[in-house]
Amino acid sequence: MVQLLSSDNETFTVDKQVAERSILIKNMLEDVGESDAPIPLPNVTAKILKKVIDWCEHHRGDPVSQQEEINDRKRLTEIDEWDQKFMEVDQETLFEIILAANYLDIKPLLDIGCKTVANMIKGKSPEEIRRTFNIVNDFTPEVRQFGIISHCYFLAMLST
Amino acid sequence: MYSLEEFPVEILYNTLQYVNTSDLAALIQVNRRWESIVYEVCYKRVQNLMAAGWTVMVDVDIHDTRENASNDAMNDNLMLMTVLDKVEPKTLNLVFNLHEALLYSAKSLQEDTNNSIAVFHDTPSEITISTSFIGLNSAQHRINYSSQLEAIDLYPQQLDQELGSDTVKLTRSNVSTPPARDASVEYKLTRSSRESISGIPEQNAKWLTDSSKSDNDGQPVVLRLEKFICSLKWFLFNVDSAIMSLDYSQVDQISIW
Repeated sequence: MVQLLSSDNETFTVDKQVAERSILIKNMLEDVGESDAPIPLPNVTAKILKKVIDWCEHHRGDPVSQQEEINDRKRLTEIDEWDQKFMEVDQETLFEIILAANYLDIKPLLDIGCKTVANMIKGKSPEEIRRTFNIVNDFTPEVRQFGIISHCYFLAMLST
Repeated sequence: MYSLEEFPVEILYNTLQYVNTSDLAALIQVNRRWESIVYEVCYKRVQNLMAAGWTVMVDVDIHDTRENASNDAMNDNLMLMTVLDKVEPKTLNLVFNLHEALLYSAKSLQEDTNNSIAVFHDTPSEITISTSFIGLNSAQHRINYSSQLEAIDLYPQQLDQELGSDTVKLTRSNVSTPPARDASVEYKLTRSSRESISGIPEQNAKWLTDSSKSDNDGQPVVLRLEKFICSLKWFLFNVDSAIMSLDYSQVDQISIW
Protein backbone atom coordinates (compact mmCIF):
# COMPACT_ATOMS: atom_id res chain seq x y z
CA MET A 1 0.00 0.00 0.00
CA VAL A 2 1.01 3.61 -0.65
CA GLN A 3 0.04 6.77 1.19
CA LEU A 4 -0.73 9.95 -0.77
CA LEU A 5 -0.90 13.38 0.87
CA SER A 6 -3.14 16.00 -0.71
CA SER A 7 -2.41 19.74 -0.75
CA ASP A 8 -4.93 20.22 2.08
CA ASN A 9 -3.16 17.58 4.20
CA GLU A 10 -5.56 14.68 3.79
CA THR A 11 -3.94 11.26 3.55
CA PHE A 12 -5.22 8.52 1.23
CA THR A 13 -4.07 4.92 1.41
CA VAL A 14 -4.19 3.13 -1.94
CA ASP A 15 -2.89 0.01 -3.62
CA LYS A 16 0.57 0.46 -5.14
CA GLN A 17 -0.79 -0.83 -8.47
CA VAL A 18 -3.52 1.81 -8.39
CA ALA A 19 -1.14 4.62 -7.42
CA GLU A 20 1.24 3.64 -10.18
CA ARG A 21 -1.31 4.60 -12.84
CA SER A 22 0.35 7.96 -12.19
CA ILE A 23 3.74 8.07 -13.86
CA LEU A 24 4.78 10.84 -11.45
CA ILE A 25 4.00 8.66 -8.40
CA LYS A 26 5.53 5.59 -10.06
CA ASN A 27 8.79 7.47 -10.61
CA MET A 28 8.74 8.87 -7.07
CA LEU A 29 8.25 5.38 -5.62
CA GLU A 30 11.14 4.07 -7.69
CA ASP A 31 13.35 6.94 -6.52
CA VAL A 32 12.41 6.68 -2.84
CA GLY A 33 12.28 2.88 -2.60
CA GLU A 34 10.41 1.15 0.26
CA SER A 35 9.07 3.81 2.63
CA ASP A 36 6.02 4.38 4.81
CA ALA A 37 6.19 8.16 4.41
CA PRO A 38 3.22 9.64 2.52
CA ILE A 39 3.93 11.03 -0.93
CA PRO A 40 3.14 14.76 -0.95
CA LEU A 41 1.04 15.99 -3.88
CA PRO A 42 1.00 19.77 -3.33
CA ASN A 43 -0.92 20.54 -6.55
CA VAL A 44 -3.93 18.31 -5.86
CA THR A 45 -6.68 18.91 -3.33
CA ALA A 46 -8.29 16.05 -1.36
CA LYS A 47 -11.54 16.41 -3.32
CA ILE A 48 -9.79 15.99 -6.67
CA LEU A 49 -7.32 13.37 -5.42
CA LYS A 50 -10.26 11.24 -4.29
CA LYS A 51 -11.78 11.49 -7.79
CA VAL A 52 -8.44 10.64 -9.42
CA ILE A 53 -8.01 7.60 -7.11
CA ASP A 54 -11.54 6.45 -7.99
CA TRP A 55 -10.64 6.63 -11.68
CA CYS A 56 -7.33 4.80 -11.17
CA GLU A 57 -9.06 2.04 -9.19
CA HIS A 58 -11.64 1.53 -11.92
CA HIS A 59 -8.93 1.41 -14.56
CA ARG A 60 -6.33 -0.53 -12.55
CA GLY A 61 -6.37 -3.47 -14.97
CA ASP A 62 -6.12 -1.39 -18.15
CA PRO A 63 -3.02 -1.87 -20.31
CA VAL A 64 -0.61 0.96 -19.67
CA SER A 65 0.25 1.39 -23.32
CA GLN A 66 -2.47 3.09 -25.32
CA GLN A 67 -0.40 2.99 -28.51
CA GLU A 68 -3.02 1.09 -30.48
CA GLU A 69 -5.48 3.87 -29.75
CA ILE A 70 -3.23 6.43 -31.44
CA ASN A 71 -3.50 4.52 -34.70
CA ASP A 72 -7.26 4.24 -34.53
CA ARG A 73 -8.72 7.66 -35.15
CA LYS A 74 -12.30 6.40 -34.98
CA ARG A 75 -11.89 5.66 -31.32
CA LEU A 76 -10.16 8.92 -30.50
CA THR A 77 -13.27 10.97 -29.80
CA GLU A 78 -15.22 8.23 -28.09
CA ILE A 79 -15.44 8.10 -24.31
CA ASP A 80 -16.24 4.92 -22.42
CA GLU A 81 -19.64 4.99 -20.64
CA TRP A 82 -18.16 4.76 -17.13
CA ASP A 83 -15.73 7.58 -17.94
CA GLN A 84 -18.56 9.72 -19.32
CA LYS A 85 -20.42 9.36 -16.02
CA PHE A 86 -17.18 10.01 -14.12
CA MET A 87 -16.76 13.28 -15.99
CA GLU A 88 -20.32 14.46 -15.29
CA VAL A 89 -19.11 17.10 -12.85
CA ASP A 90 -19.22 20.88 -12.72
CA GLN A 91 -16.80 22.73 -14.96
CA GLU A 92 -14.43 23.71 -12.15
CA THR A 93 -14.08 20.09 -11.00
CA LEU A 94 -13.57 18.94 -14.60
CA PHE A 95 -10.76 21.46 -15.09
CA GLU A 96 -9.15 20.49 -11.79
CA ILE A 97 -9.25 16.80 -12.76
CA ILE A 98 -7.57 17.67 -16.08
CA LEU A 99 -4.89 19.72 -14.33
CA ALA A 100 -4.35 16.95 -11.77
CA ALA A 101 -4.08 14.32 -14.52
CA ASN A 102 -1.52 16.50 -16.26
CA TYR A 103 0.46 17.03 -13.04
CA LEU A 104 0.29 13.38 -11.98
CA ASP A 105 1.08 12.28 -15.54
CA ILE A 106 -1.93 10.04 -16.06
CA LYS A 107 -2.26 10.30 -19.84
CA PRO A 108 -5.47 8.28 -20.31
CA LEU A 109 -7.28 10.39 -17.69
CA LEU A 110 -5.91 13.59 -19.24
CA ASP A 111 -7.17 12.44 -22.64
CA ILE A 112 -10.65 11.69 -21.29
CA GLY A 113 -10.76 15.16 -19.73
CA CYS A 114 -9.62 16.79 -22.98
CA LYS A 115 -12.16 14.77 -24.98
CA THR A 116 -14.86 15.96 -22.58
CA VAL A 117 -13.85 19.58 -23.20
CA ALA A 118 -13.76 18.90 -26.96
CA ASN A 119 -17.30 17.51 -26.72
CA MET A 120 -18.38 20.67 -24.89
CA ILE A 121 -17.08 22.69 -27.86
CA LYS A 122 -18.81 20.48 -30.42
CA GLY A 123 -21.37 22.23 -32.62
CA LYS A 124 -21.17 25.56 -30.78
CA SER A 125 -20.82 28.99 -32.34
CA PRO A 126 -17.90 31.23 -31.27
CA GLU A 127 -20.25 33.19 -28.99
CA GLU A 128 -21.60 30.01 -27.39
CA ILE A 129 -18.04 28.77 -26.79
CA ARG A 130 -17.21 32.11 -25.11
CA ARG A 131 -20.28 31.82 -22.90
CA THR A 132 -19.63 28.16 -22.03
CA PHE A 133 -16.05 28.76 -20.95
CA ASN A 134 -16.34 32.39 -19.85
CA ILE A 135 -13.84 33.57 -22.47
CA VAL A 136 -13.48 37.27 -23.21
CA ASN A 137 -13.69 38.31 -26.87
CA ASP A 138 -10.63 40.51 -27.34
CA PHE A 139 -10.99 41.00 -31.09
CA THR A 140 -11.52 44.56 -32.16
CA PRO A 141 -14.11 44.92 -34.96
CA GLU A 142 -11.30 45.92 -37.34
CA VAL A 143 -9.27 42.81 -36.63
CA ARG A 144 -12.28 40.56 -37.15
CA GLN A 145 -13.32 42.32 -40.33
CA PHE A 146 -9.98 42.33 -42.05
CA GLY A 147 -8.46 39.27 -40.45
CA ILE A 148 -5.21 41.02 -39.65
CA ILE A 149 -3.16 38.02 -38.78
CA SER A 150 -0.11 37.66 -40.85
CA HIS A 151 1.04 34.31 -41.96
CA CYS A 152 4.58 35.43 -41.27
CA TYR A 153 3.73 36.00 -37.63
CA PHE A 154 2.56 32.44 -37.28
CA LEU A 155 5.46 31.03 -39.17
CA ALA A 156 7.78 32.98 -36.89
CA MET A 157 5.87 31.62 -33.91
CA LEU A 158 6.18 28.09 -35.26
CA SER A 159 9.89 28.40 -35.70
CA THR A 160 10.52 29.57 -32.13
CA MET B 1 -11.80 28.98 -10.04
CA TYR B 2 -9.80 27.72 -12.97
CA SER B 3 -10.85 28.70 -16.45
CA LEU B 4 -9.99 27.18 -19.80
CA GLU B 5 -7.98 30.32 -20.52
CA GLU B 6 -5.57 29.51 -17.67
CA PHE B 7 -4.80 26.01 -18.86
CA PRO B 8 -1.20 25.34 -19.79
CA VAL B 9 -0.80 25.42 -23.53
CA GLU B 10 0.15 21.73 -23.71
CA ILE B 11 -3.29 20.82 -22.32
CA LEU B 12 -4.97 23.07 -24.90
CA TYR B 13 -3.01 21.38 -27.71
CA ASN B 14 -4.01 18.00 -26.35
CA THR B 15 -7.66 19.10 -26.27
CA LEU B 16 -7.52 20.34 -29.85
CA GLN B 17 -6.50 16.86 -31.02
CA TYR B 18 -10.09 15.85 -30.31
CA VAL B 19 -11.84 18.89 -31.77
CA ASN B 20 -13.54 18.41 -35.16
CA THR B 21 -12.42 20.54 -38.07
CA SER B 22 -15.77 22.34 -38.23
CA ASP B 23 -15.48 23.18 -34.55
CA LEU B 24 -11.93 24.45 -35.07
CA ALA B 25 -13.41 26.98 -37.50
CA ALA B 26 -15.63 28.28 -34.68
CA LEU B 27 -12.90 28.11 -32.07
CA ILE B 28 -10.52 30.23 -34.15
CA GLN B 29 -13.01 33.10 -33.87
CA VAL B 30 -13.29 33.00 -30.09
CA ASN B 31 -10.41 35.30 -29.19
CA ARG B 32 -6.81 36.11 -30.07
CA ARG B 33 -5.24 33.38 -27.95
CA TRP B 34 -7.45 30.70 -29.43
CA GLU B 35 -6.88 32.10 -32.89
CA SER B 36 -3.13 31.65 -32.64
CA ILE B 37 -3.38 28.22 -31.00
CA VAL B 38 -5.93 26.86 -33.48
CA TYR B 39 -4.01 28.28 -36.42
CA GLU B 40 -0.83 26.61 -35.24
CA VAL B 41 -2.61 23.30 -34.65
CA CYS B 42 -4.17 23.37 -38.14
CA TYR B 43 -0.89 24.26 -39.81
CA LYS B 44 0.98 21.51 -37.98
CA ARG B 45 -1.81 19.01 -38.56
CA VAL B 46 -1.60 19.52 -42.30
CA GLN B 47 2.20 19.57 -42.30
CA ASN B 48 2.26 16.28 -40.39
CA LEU B 49 -0.22 14.71 -42.77
CA MET B 50 1.80 15.86 -45.75
CA ALA B 51 4.99 14.54 -44.17
CA ALA B 52 3.18 11.23 -43.74
CA GLY B 53 2.52 11.16 -47.47
CA TRP B 54 -0.92 12.74 -47.95
CA THR B 55 -0.92 15.35 -50.65
CA VAL B 56 -2.41 16.56 -53.91
CA MET B 57 -0.88 15.97 -57.31
CA VAL B 58 -1.71 17.92 -60.44
CA ASP B 59 -1.12 16.32 -63.81
CA VAL B 60 -1.09 18.49 -66.91
CA ASP B 61 -1.62 16.60 -70.19
CA ILE B 62 -1.00 18.39 -73.43
CA HIS B 63 -2.60 17.06 -76.60
CA ASP B 64 -2.55 18.06 -80.20
CA THR B 65 -5.41 16.45 -82.03
CA ARG B 66 -5.00 18.37 -85.27
CA GLU B 67 -4.63 16.14 -88.31
CA ASN B 68 -1.34 17.65 -89.46
CA ALA B 69 0.20 17.80 -86.00
CA SER B 70 3.74 16.53 -85.57
CA ASN B 71 2.51 14.43 -82.68
CA ASP B 72 5.50 13.57 -80.48
CA ALA B 73 6.46 17.02 -79.22
CA MET B 74 2.90 18.12 -78.58
CA ASN B 75 1.75 15.14 -76.57
CA ASP B 76 3.48 15.94 -73.37
CA ASN B 77 2.90 15.76 -69.66
CA LEU B 78 3.82 17.89 -66.68
CA MET B 79 3.46 16.45 -63.18
CA LEU B 80 3.19 18.90 -60.29
CA MET B 81 3.20 18.37 -56.55
CA THR B 82 1.61 20.65 -53.98
CA VAL B 83 3.67 22.36 -51.30
CA LEU B 84 1.79 24.01 -48.42
CA ASP B 85 2.09 27.78 -48.64
CA LYS B 86 -0.27 28.94 -45.91
CA VAL B 87 -3.47 28.42 -44.00
CA GLU B 88 -5.86 31.33 -44.45
CA PRO B 89 -6.67 32.35 -40.87
CA LYS B 90 -10.25 33.46 -41.44
CA THR B 91 -11.42 30.56 -43.55
CA LEU B 92 -8.95 27.80 -42.62
CA ASN B 93 -8.50 27.26 -46.34
CA LEU B 94 -5.22 25.61 -47.27
CA VAL B 95 -3.25 27.29 -50.02
CA PHE B 96 -0.64 25.22 -51.83
CA ASN B 97 1.99 26.18 -54.37
CA LEU B 98 2.48 23.88 -57.33
CA HIS B 99 5.93 22.63 -58.21
CA GLU B 100 7.19 20.28 -60.85
CA ALA B 101 7.73 16.74 -59.60
CA LEU B 102 10.81 14.61 -60.05
CA LEU B 103 10.58 12.15 -62.90
CA TYR B 104 9.40 8.70 -61.70
CA SER B 105 8.94 9.98 -58.18
CA ALA B 106 6.10 11.98 -56.71
CA LYS B 107 8.46 14.38 -55.01
CA SER B 108 8.64 18.09 -55.57
CA LEU B 109 11.73 19.29 -57.42
CA GLN B 110 11.85 22.59 -55.59
CA GLU B 111 10.00 24.22 -52.78
CA ASP B 112 11.02 27.85 -52.98
CA THR B 113 9.22 29.18 -56.03
CA ASN B 114 5.72 30.55 -56.24
CA ASN B 115 4.24 28.69 -59.15
CA SER B 116 4.94 26.52 -62.12
CA ILE B 117 4.75 27.76 -65.67
CA ALA B 118 4.43 25.83 -68.91
CA VAL B 119 5.28 27.62 -72.14
CA PHE B 120 4.19 26.33 -75.54
CA HIS B 121 5.68 27.73 -78.74
CA ASP B 122 3.17 25.81 -80.77
CA THR B 123 -0.43 26.05 -79.67
CA PRO B 124 -1.74 22.75 -78.33
CA SER B 125 -5.35 21.88 -79.13
CA GLU B 126 -6.18 20.74 -75.64
CA ILE B 127 -4.70 20.88 -72.16
CA THR B 128 -6.17 18.72 -69.43
CA ILE B 129 -5.43 19.53 -65.80
CA SER B 130 -6.14 16.45 -63.69
CA THR B 131 -5.96 16.69 -59.93
CA SER B 132 -5.67 13.74 -57.58
CA PHE B 133 -5.58 13.37 -53.83
CA ILE B 134 -2.79 10.88 -53.21
CA GLY B 135 -1.12 8.90 -50.47
CA LEU B 136 2.58 8.41 -50.87
CA ASN B 137 4.84 5.91 -49.29
CA SER B 138 6.79 8.64 -47.53
CA ALA B 139 10.12 6.81 -47.70
CA GLN B 140 10.08 5.99 -51.39
CA HIS B 141 7.70 8.61 -52.76
CA ARG B 142 5.66 5.99 -54.53
CA ILE B 143 1.92 6.46 -54.85
CA ASN B 144 -0.03 4.02 -52.67
CA TYR B 145 -3.42 5.69 -52.90
CA SER B 146 -5.01 7.92 -55.50
CA SER B 147 -8.42 9.51 -55.78
CA GLN B 148 -8.98 11.54 -58.92
CA LEU B 149 -10.91 14.81 -58.83
CA GLU B 150 -12.73 16.53 -61.67
CA ALA B 151 -10.49 17.42 -64.60
CA ILE B 152 -10.24 20.86 -66.16
CA ASP B 153 -10.15 20.98 -69.98
CA LEU B 154 -8.58 24.00 -71.63
CA TYR B 155 -8.60 24.81 -75.34
CA PRO B 156 -5.73 27.22 -76.01
CA GLN B 157 -6.66 27.69 -79.66
CA GLN B 158 -9.75 29.56 -78.47
CA LEU B 159 -7.49 32.11 -76.77
CA ASP B 160 -7.08 34.12 -79.93
CA GLN B 161 -10.83 34.49 -80.33
CA GLU B 162 -11.48 35.37 -76.72
CA LEU B 163 -8.57 37.42 -75.52
CA GLY B 164 -5.93 39.90 -76.37
CA SER B 165 -2.37 39.36 -75.21
CA ASP B 166 -1.71 39.15 -71.48
CA THR B 167 -5.27 40.03 -70.55
CA VAL B 168 -6.47 36.74 -69.21
CA LYS B 169 -7.93 36.74 -65.72
CA LEU B 170 -6.90 34.35 -63.02
CA THR B 171 -9.25 31.41 -63.21
CA ARG B 172 -10.17 29.27 -60.26
CA SER B 173 -11.78 26.01 -61.32
CA ASN B 174 -13.42 23.69 -58.86
CA VAL B 175 -12.09 20.18 -59.00
CA SER B 176 -14.03 18.52 -56.20
CA THR B 177 -17.33 16.91 -56.93
CA PRO B 178 -20.61 18.54 -55.85
CA PRO B 179 -21.95 19.32 -53.33
CA ALA B 180 -18.60 19.93 -51.62
CA ARG B 181 -17.14 22.48 -54.02
CA ASP B 182 -14.22 23.33 -51.82
CA ALA B 183 -11.12 22.36 -53.77
CA SER B 184 -9.90 24.30 -56.75
CA VAL B 185 -6.93 24.95 -59.00
CA GLU B 186 -5.93 28.52 -59.84
CA TYR B 187 -4.31 29.06 -63.21
CA LYS B 188 -3.79 31.60 -65.95
CA LEU B 189 -3.77 30.67 -69.61
CA THR B 190 -2.59 33.42 -71.88
CA ARG B 191 -0.74 34.19 -75.08
CA SER B 192 2.23 36.34 -74.19
CA SER B 193 4.83 38.26 -76.09
CA ARG B 194 8.39 36.94 -76.15
CA GLU B 195 9.48 40.01 -74.18
CA SER B 196 7.07 39.37 -71.33
CA ILE B 197 8.03 35.72 -70.94
CA SER B 198 11.74 36.46 -71.02
CA GLY B 199 11.42 37.60 -67.39
CA ILE B 200 10.19 34.22 -66.16
CA PRO B 201 12.83 32.59 -63.95
CA GLU B 202 14.28 29.61 -65.77
CA GLN B 203 13.66 27.21 -62.91
CA ASN B 204 9.94 28.03 -62.93
CA ALA B 205 9.36 27.45 -66.61
CA LYS B 206 8.92 24.26 -68.51
CA TRP B 207 9.35 24.85 -72.25
CA LEU B 208 7.25 22.18 -73.78
CA THR B 209 7.89 22.68 -77.47
CA ASP B 210 10.77 23.62 -79.67
CA SER B 211 10.93 27.34 -80.46
CA SER B 212 11.60 26.53 -84.12
CA LYS B 213 8.02 25.24 -84.33
CA SER B 214 6.60 28.51 -83.10
CA ASP B 215 3.36 29.65 -84.65
CA ASN B 216 1.31 32.79 -84.04
CA ASP B 217 4.11 35.25 -84.78
CA GLY B 218 6.27 34.00 -81.96
CA GLN B 219 3.70 34.62 -79.22
CA PRO B 220 3.83 31.51 -77.09
CA VAL B 221 0.94 30.16 -75.08
CA VAL B 222 1.74 30.40 -71.39
CA LEU B 223 0.02 28.34 -68.73
CA ARG B 224 0.73 29.58 -65.20
CA LEU B 225 -0.34 27.09 -62.56
CA GLU B 226 -0.77 29.36 -59.58
CA LYS B 227 -2.25 27.57 -56.58
CA PHE B 228 -4.24 24.62 -55.36
CA ILE B 229 -6.75 25.75 -52.73
CA CYS B 230 -8.95 23.59 -50.55
CA SER B 231 -10.67 23.79 -47.22
CA LEU B 232 -9.04 22.11 -44.23
CA LYS B 233 -12.22 20.06 -43.91
CA TRP B 234 -11.88 18.81 -47.49
CA PHE B 235 -8.25 17.80 -46.94
CA LEU B 236 -8.95 15.94 -43.69
CA PHE B 237 -12.05 14.31 -45.19
CA ASN B 238 -9.90 12.95 -48.03
CA VAL B 239 -7.34 11.60 -45.57
CA ASP B 240 -10.13 9.88 -43.63
CA SER B 241 -11.67 8.44 -46.80
CA ALA B 242 -8.29 7.17 -47.92
CA ILE B 243 -7.65 5.52 -44.57
CA MET B 244 -11.03 3.83 -44.66
CA SER B 245 -10.34 2.43 -48.12
CA LEU B 246 -6.84 1.17 -47.46
CA ASP B 247 -6.07 -2.08 -45.74
CA TYR B 248 -3.97 -1.92 -42.60
CA SER B 249 -0.73 -3.08 -44.17
CA GLN B 250 -0.83 -0.11 -46.54
CA VAL B 251 -1.86 2.23 -43.75
CA ASP B 252 1.21 1.26 -41.76
CA GLN B 253 3.42 2.13 -44.70
CA ILE B 254 1.93 5.58 -45.01
CA SER B 255 1.86 6.24 -41.23
CA ILE B 256 -1.30 8.22 -41.28
CA TRP B 257 -1.63 10.51 -38.31
